Amino acid sequence: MHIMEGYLPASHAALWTAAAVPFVGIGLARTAKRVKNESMDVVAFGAVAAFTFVLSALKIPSVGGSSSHPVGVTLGSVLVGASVMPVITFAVLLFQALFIAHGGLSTLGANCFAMGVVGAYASAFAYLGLKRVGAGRNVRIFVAALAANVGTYATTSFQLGLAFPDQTGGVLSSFFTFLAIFAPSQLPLMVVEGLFTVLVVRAMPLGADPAPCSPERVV
Amino acid sequence: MKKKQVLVALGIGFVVFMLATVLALMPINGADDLAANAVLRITPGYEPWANHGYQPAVIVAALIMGLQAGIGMFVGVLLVMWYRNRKQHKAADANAAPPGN
Repeated sequence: MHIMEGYLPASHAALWTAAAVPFVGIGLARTAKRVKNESMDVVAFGAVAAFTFVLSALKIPSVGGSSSHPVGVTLGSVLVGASVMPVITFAVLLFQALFIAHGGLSTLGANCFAMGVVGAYASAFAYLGLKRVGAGRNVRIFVAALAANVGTYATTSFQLGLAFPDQTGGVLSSFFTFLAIFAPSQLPLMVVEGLFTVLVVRAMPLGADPAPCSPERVV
Repeated sequence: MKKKQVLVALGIGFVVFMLATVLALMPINGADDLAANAVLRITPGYEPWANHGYQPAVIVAALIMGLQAGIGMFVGVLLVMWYRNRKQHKAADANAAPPGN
């Protein structure tokens, strides 16, 4: 899901851009540092970036006659760490804004914050939380994908609700209106993304646990 | 990287290209469009203050999305195979190393 070009007032667009920029900057610096000191596998990083492009390009029809895209950030959060995902998400969203008029440059910061920051960290923390309680790896990855989708669409709904409060119900009512719009398409997509992510991680023989997803690499 | 693995990655990439293109061409409202309509319903008179400047034809946008997905899948599958090959070689090297090394 993307907020379309011009569909956030300029002040809100600037606010969300300011919120996203530090995460993209820190992500770039950390990626460069980890590649340099070889604590991040560049092949895994490349695969994660490629699959994020794939998932974000799939317009999947869903119940209720609407369609949407998987967010695609879970694989990266689990394999290379959430702090890297704002960078990859920014690249994907920029590509789509420039070449297929999806999302937009004015809403790039807001969309990047929802998917690349909230979505990525929600999936990483869900993964780590389940690891702590001893859940199996496949369950952790699947639930992490659900968390990424819920985090992303709740944030997008909040961004829109804040910008366009309902005249009677205010921000909260508007927030639920947008949630209700996204839910029918996004709920089934969560399941698709969860299964896809489990399959890809299983194809990469990382051992019992995808080692990169450790707390020090998440933040 | 074996030639067969590259061909498999190409095949999977092509299938995903076709799938993504067909999906993008299906005349279904996106959730993004529904949200934009809701904005106009909640705030009558709101006019988007920015626009893309150009809107690619439906078929062009669908093909770009298809290429994005297809090339991404090709590269992704290729890298996963490379990763697996490297892991297997490392394991083979470790097994072949004489004890004490």
